[in-house]
Amino acid sequence: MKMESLTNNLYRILISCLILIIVFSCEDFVDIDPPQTGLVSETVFADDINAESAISGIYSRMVESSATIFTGTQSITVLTSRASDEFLNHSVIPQFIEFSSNDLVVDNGFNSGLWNQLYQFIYSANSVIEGLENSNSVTDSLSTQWQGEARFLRAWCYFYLVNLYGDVPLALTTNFEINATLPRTSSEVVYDQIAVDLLDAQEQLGENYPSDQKIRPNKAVATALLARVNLYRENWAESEREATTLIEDGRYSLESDLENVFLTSSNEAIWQLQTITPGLGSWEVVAFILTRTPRNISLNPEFVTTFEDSDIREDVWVGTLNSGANTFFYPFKYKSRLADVSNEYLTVFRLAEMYLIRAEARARQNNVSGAQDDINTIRTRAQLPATTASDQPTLLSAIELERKHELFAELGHRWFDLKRTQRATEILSPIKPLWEATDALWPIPLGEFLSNPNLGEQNPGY
Amino acid sequence: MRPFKRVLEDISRDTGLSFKLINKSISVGKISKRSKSLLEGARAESGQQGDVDQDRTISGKVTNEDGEPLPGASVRIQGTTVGTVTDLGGNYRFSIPATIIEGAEADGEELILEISYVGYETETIVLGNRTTIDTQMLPSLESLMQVEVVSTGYYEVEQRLNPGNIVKVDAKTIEQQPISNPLQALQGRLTGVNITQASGVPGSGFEIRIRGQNSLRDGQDQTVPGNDPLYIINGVPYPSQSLSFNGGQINPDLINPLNFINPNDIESIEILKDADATAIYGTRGANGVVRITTKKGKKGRLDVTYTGQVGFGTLENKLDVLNTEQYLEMRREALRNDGVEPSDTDFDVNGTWSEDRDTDWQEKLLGGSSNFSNHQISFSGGSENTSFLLGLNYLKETTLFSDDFFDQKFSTNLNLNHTSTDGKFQVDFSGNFLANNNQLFSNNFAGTAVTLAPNAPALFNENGDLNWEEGTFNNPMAQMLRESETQSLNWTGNINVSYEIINGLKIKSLAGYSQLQSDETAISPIAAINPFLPTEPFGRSSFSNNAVNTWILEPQLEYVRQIDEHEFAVLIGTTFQETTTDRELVVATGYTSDALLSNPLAGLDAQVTQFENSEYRFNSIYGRINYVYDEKYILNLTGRRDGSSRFGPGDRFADFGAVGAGWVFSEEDFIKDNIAFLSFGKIRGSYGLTGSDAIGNYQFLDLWVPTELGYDSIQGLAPQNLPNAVFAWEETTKAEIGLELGFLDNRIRINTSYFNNNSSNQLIGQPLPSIAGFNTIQANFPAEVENTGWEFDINSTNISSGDFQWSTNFNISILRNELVSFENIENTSFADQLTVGEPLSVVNVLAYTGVDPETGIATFRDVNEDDRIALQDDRLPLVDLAPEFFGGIQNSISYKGISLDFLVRFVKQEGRSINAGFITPGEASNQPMSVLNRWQSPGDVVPYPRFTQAGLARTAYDNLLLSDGLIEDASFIRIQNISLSYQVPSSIINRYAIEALRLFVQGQNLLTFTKYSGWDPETQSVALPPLRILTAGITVTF
Repeated sequence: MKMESLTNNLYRILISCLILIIVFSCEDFVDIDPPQTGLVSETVFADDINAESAISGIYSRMVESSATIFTGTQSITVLTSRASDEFLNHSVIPQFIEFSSNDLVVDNGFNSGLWNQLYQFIYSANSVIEGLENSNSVTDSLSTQWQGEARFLRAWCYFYLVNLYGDVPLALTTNFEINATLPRTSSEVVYDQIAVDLLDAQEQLGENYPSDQKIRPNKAVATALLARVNLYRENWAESEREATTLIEDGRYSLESDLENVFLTSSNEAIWQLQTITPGLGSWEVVAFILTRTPRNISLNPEFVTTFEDSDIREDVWVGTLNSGANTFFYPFKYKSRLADVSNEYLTVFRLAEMYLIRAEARARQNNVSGAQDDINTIRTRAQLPATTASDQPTLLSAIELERKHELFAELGHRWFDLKRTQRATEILSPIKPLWEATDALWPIPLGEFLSNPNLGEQNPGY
Repeated sequence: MRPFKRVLEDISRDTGLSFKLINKSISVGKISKRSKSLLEGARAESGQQGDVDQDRTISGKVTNEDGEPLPGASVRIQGTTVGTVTDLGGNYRFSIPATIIEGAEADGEELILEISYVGYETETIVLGNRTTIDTQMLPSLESLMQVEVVSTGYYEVEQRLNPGNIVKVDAKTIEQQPISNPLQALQGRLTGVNITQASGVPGSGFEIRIRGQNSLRDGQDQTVPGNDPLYIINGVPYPSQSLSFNGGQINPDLINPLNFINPNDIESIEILKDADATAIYGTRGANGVVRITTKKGKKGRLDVTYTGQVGFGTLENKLDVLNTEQYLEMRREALRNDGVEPSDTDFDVNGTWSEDRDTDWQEKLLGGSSNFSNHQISFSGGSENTSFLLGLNYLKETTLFSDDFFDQKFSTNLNLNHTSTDGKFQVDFSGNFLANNNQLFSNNFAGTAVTLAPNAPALFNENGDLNWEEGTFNNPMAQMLRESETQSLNWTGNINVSYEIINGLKIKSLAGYSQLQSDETAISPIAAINPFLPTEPFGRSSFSNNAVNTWILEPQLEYVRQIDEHEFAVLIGTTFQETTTDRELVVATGYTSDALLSNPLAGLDAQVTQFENSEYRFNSIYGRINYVYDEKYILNLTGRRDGSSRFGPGDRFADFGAVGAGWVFSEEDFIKDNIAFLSFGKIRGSYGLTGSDAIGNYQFLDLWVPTELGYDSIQGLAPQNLPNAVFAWEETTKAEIGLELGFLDNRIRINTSYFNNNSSNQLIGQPLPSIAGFNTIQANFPAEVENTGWEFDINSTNISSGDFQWSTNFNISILRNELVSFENIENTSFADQLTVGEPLSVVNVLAYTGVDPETGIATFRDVNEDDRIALQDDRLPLVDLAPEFFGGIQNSISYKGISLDFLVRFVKQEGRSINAGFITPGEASNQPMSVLNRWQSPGDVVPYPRFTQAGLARTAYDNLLLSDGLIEDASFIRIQNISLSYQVPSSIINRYAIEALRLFVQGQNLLTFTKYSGWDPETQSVALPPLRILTAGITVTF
């Protein structure tokens, strides 16, 4: 019968299959290739191209959308300017209002976002440092440069953490078992580590930028941050020295035309973050420039009135929108919303800040004329007369005001200045009904305490 | 009347035939157990009598208790093999050989006609001189339980000889319920199985827990939640979680994959619970196994059956919320309390919105009814060797909001079955195809309906356009323009082949393939954007394509042998499984027109924002030895060695196994002789080890993935997860002991089980603080979770007299969960969430100490006495959100052709008050009526704090949300299902060439009794409660 022979054959086939399968099964079958969606760590640091991608990935995530902490509406710029006297609130979103009214709650999502992203960047930097240190196949000179970049980025992120939150956990490896239970480290120790990283970065980074734009750090960028860190730590001599290094570097000069300061071609820029979103001019424009009645933020009119009459910065860097009977102001440092190729990059360090750092460091060391020179360099560019300040207290006031007008809406200068000079309560309590002295530090996100029992106490006031 | 089993035993003794009860058919064979159906057996046997002179022909009709024809009943002369089976009309006709008649006369005995049918009491009738005998059969009591056969998928076992715990719901029960997700059919019916419906939106999620939570890996944020059971559809593993790539970004009501299985295609759903039943699934069986088997063809004449039902769904309850007067009072009081004036954006109280409006938004947005319709036609039939079933089904459930939003399924089911003439070769194919179209919008209105201010403006202006009220009103109707559409295709196909090489030795193989594909599109048109917003309005669309493909190959050898009273069954086999998952998400932005939103290329920019292509492989070798002595003593050993690609090299393989044993003590003579009322008694027990690899793929690798955008003209790479190369299998040991009793001819049956499951080596996505760079890491933890419980299942045939039948099932499960140990928990990130010695379901909350009568602010116990209330310092394990017990009472009553079935489901539990889903009373959001009982002036002693929007009082209210102050009794008793049907007598319909006609009405979620103050005690949130669905329909068979 046909069926019988068919079934006989079938069972022979089945038995053969069964035997074959049992013999060849198991270990090999469940040993699968890595997915096509990513690379394992060893592969990443096995050659120059992928290793550089690992570095590039950190910058990319810093500016990839309007929701990162360096760009857009939830950035360090926006949140600190809300908390200081720079921005007025127009949003109905409670979490934004909490920043503007200095009434943060411990689970404010934007605050958690800041904290989380800073530590994500630190983790990535730590991964790159470890990956490169353990790799033998990346070209030595490149490996050194990239380790310098990673150390610089780590220091830069800790700079924000320590200034926003005070004592913070110091994660320097990728080992989660160590990191997950880190206690808070005193801000002095964190600053020491920042300084160590920056000194290493100065060693490891080249004099030249890695590519033809100023969008990845060279040695000068590490020096710029070191100048700022020393200023914040009140190491006046070191701060002056680092600032001087940059002022005398020769490659950087103040743009006489304020329109050019934030351009990609700016001679003043020391480090810029590239605008990578296709078609976009800059996220700052999206966040700041008003085209209708503000629904989010505007520049505080009280802030604008403090500009001296002939200060050209008010004309070039402050925009105005007339909406009915109301006039609204906005930061207008970045100007183009859309661009086929962006010509405005988020400028993180620029020479003007170095002059102001040096002015302050000199004033603190009672170098009155030196301080005046540096202030006047900035004032001259703003088409203002020379400063009348002539002793340390008046110089320091003049510098504070100059920093306010020069560096507004640029990654938190005003907020950090008020805080580090102990002036926050004096300036903010008259204009912020809910202000308390403890508001100068923001709360560590609630979730961190829930998952890290060693974290200890919350910042006071929360 | 003798029990049917005894009859078969007698026949067996006389004829040397053996009988096996397999579901509703009896398989007859030589003692060698060659498999043959009763039909074949009977015909083959009567064929052997062919050479005997035909002396006497006897005929008649066999009907059931309702007078309906009973096809396939066995009719024979007692003590012989002479006989036949009835045809589809219930008629029979056969000849009695002269030799038999002569033999009987010679012995001076009467010829006795014996008519039997599975599930009915066997009739014996003295033949006498009659040539026509019509018989009405009555359902047998014993059959209701004893003939039930269950299957682990690898082997079948008679329930009475099963040392394990497998429970089952069959097609009849499923068909009585107007449902669209098969899991709904199980609610309240099975012990140990707790199913919660999270939302009444069609297609949306269900949570199933079989015997509690074993794994600490729980919650929606995990890629592969650790407590889902293994779903097996016709032998092929099936996903348990929504395919959606983006956590509901496109369709916020995540579609449960079980929604892609047509309930009407299902023949049975079996739940495997204990070690004995689940060990054959090894690593995947820790959380139980849900086996879904689709319908199969039946031999015989072509049957065409149409079932259609239509109906509607409504909300059972409205939530009492504030009216305009009360709402404005609340708002003004809050502003007064806070000492502030209404701001520019407080449109509800600053005069922008009319205070004369008072809209019942629940009536407006949720007051409609949904439509439910289901049409099914099936063709079934076959010859001696081959049978087939072809089913077509259409099911559509619309939403309350509009008929334009719905969940619609079209499915086909094909089953082909062939057995070779010699019975040695068998092949069975099942193919199921389902196309699901789910059309919803970005917000299902449930939250909006209860929170929108009652004086909010009209939805539409005079022209019928959306009313934005000068930009002050976020019109909820705009949400309806944000449509989301999910088109899903589900294909499962499987072939089972078996060949009997020598007597008792079979080689078998299952080959199966399943493909589940889900394409989601969500549009956000310009028309839905408040035109008064300052930003340039652009349209936006998201497109997500997801596919999961699984193939499985399971070659097996099975050997069955019986020697006298000793019965052996041995199975060895191996499994190869591969599952690939492909998912991508494309986001298109910058549409300047709404016309082409479904085209990703029509926007200014389209980007692939997420992409996944992953592979999972699974391999194992397993075996089972089963030994039964004299149908009294049962021993079952299973073992398995499993390997999974989800673990790093060296940790991939692990061994699992179980031992099960049973003793049918009612078969012992000393019981039979002494305890007459005990008709059945069995003690069973099992112990074993199962495991779980239910984690995401590739987690042991430290992967770097491309960033969305490059930087400095270099593509970026970023770490995807924290790597941990050394995690391994999670393990669960299961122990169970059961007692099954039947009394009074099994009119009352009581099954009792006690189990103790212990899970260790917990594979946890351990939550990490952000300072670690990621918020989770996969690792094994030396934590031990124990689940214990009692399950009782009582069946009673209350009345069984002729036309009137009434039976009741009562089931209850009392489960207890405990985190037994967790070494060094205080140094882990679980310290704040879990408490050793308490259930995992216990949540740590603040202890609410009431409203301060002086200030009106909520107060809490300051556990660490630092004069500060903070969740991280002051939380206590106070609230257990898991049910204390749950179960159901099912009654089935029939009189002549009328049947009434109803299920009452009950759950005893605590739950979150509905207020926990609302923001602070006083803010611009409506509130449940209960908040009116608030503090107003010093000295007030009231349950709710003062109305507020800011400051200390608001912080305290936020703490109230995290406290036990908003926990209440959420127990409920729900009339889950009622089905009333009428079988039209054949005398009426036969003249229309209709075989059978049944009319029915059915209802689901009909009435809920609860003290719970919120919308629904099952969802315990502002999500849409399960709808009350009422349908009417007919089933007609030609």
